[in-house]
Amino acid sequence: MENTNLKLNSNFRTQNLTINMGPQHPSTHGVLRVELISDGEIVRAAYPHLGYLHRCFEKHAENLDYLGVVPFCDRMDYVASMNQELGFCMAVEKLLQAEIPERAQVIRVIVLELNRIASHLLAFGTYGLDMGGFTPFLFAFRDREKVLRIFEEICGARLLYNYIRPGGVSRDLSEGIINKIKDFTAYFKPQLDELDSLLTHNSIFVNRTANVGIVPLDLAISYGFSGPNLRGSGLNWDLRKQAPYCGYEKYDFDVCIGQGERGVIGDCWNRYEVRVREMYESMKIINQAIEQLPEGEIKGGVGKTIKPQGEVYVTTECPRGELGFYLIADGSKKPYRLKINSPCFNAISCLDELCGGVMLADVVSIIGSLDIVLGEVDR
Amino acid sequence: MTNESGIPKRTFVIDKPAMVPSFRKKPNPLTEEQALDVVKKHNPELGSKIIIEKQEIGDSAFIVQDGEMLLDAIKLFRDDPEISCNQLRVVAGIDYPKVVDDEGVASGDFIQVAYVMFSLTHKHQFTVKVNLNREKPVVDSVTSLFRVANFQERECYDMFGIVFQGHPNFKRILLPSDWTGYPLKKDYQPPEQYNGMKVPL
Repeated sequence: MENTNLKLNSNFRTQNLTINMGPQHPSTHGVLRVELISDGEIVRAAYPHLGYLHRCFEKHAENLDYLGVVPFCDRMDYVASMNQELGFCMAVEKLLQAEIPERAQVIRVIVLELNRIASHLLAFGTYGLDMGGFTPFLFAFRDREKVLRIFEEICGARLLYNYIRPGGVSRDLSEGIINKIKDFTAYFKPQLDELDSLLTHNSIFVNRTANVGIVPLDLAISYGFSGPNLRGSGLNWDLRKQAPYCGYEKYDFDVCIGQGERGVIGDCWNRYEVRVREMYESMKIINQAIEQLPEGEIKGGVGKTIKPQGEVYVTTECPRGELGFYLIADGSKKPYRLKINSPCFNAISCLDELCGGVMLADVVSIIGSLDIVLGEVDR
Repeated sequence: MTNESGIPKRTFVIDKPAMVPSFRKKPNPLTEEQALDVVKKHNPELGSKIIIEKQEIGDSAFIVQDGEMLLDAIKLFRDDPEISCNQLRVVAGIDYPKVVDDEGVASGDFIQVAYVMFSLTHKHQFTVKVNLNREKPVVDSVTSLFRVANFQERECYDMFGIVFQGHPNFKRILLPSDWTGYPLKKDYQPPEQYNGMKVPL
């Protein structure tokens, strides 16, 4: 008790403490280890250590035929697998100069946007969980499960689909599944309003996220941000609008950009809010796609043996950003080189820059708002 | 690399970031030949060292024949208002070991680094490549121009052993720091043991 009169003098020495956050920390969304150099409650530096989930995707791809690579793509970003398959299939189709049947294109758009909703619901729910709100997480997972049930009926798997193939899709959508998708969109619209009202303008949530982790636009471009992270920084850039693929130019939807309604443009809140509004846009696209679903073939343009030649870089707009496939094919059965440009990998490289000088608790809110999936970072 | 207070020193020096795209201007996509003409107009010496590698299908590429001029080339591609590639999408290594075909003609024997650059302003994409010595691949780092290159180049070193000079934090990223060999080289043989553990194949 005699120490209570202790006065701080100029000789008082403090020391930086190194804290290892992860690789098993629930807020790192997987196996990410962040080495935090902390000065009391303030973070001085944050070094991400990657590679805990490295499964040698690029090396495997060089030893597999083209159809064999598709299931490996699923396992990169395991919460948005449909989107991951599409990029690889499009790269192969571009080299083969294949014409994809109209029905296959529309089915692709339906499953892609359903998958985007499922992925954003996971991002929404876990971000709420990181910020201390348990209820949105339960609601989000309840609704996500409904999407996964639909996928289970379409292709037999909840998470790792192997559904989109070079040349089309593997199975047709039956009338029953289309009705279920219609029921889901009708059901989900009011649910989404409710989810939105639970978290978006909650004052605790806003205090934790607004004005935290600001990425100015020039920094975002320099760090190669894409997808909701880039749009959260205020750039009107969506590949579905700017470089349409799969017939996205036929659908009427808006690009969601960070508006700075709370906080400033480019902070965690704006990145989060872009994702919430994108779910509404995805539902718009699904409804339009179901209405204009034509009859016809679901596969075509690609023969049984796939032997492309040439090199191509194809990007698609995935829920986490622009996933790029740099495919170099030498005319044999296997890819010569396949390089994946992962949006999460680029986003996580910004962590050190964002975390210098913030409070310790804000690190969680910054990692959550970048919405990384470690399966895609490490590949 | 630490100062007296124990905080690791930040050695991150960056040029002025690339231009933020303006959508008021109408996009003016260039072909490879037009872009090369622009390069020749601004830097004739550099322009004479760049050739276009045409692909029948897919994306064509520029090959910078002198590795020391790579940084200049990337900088010009980034800053020139007509090309204005403000986004570096990917840094990819590609290994071409020496191959002798049936007629005894040797080809390959180099490592290639491909920089895929994209212009948010003009919506065109260019691939700039440089061929390096396969035994000692060394090239200048572009981290001073694009921060995304920081992790991308580390991954490239991790997988191919390409040394990027001037990189602020140059070490392995995905593999453990004491791993031997560079796995994405075509002649890579995985070690039988790693720290006393059998490596499964």
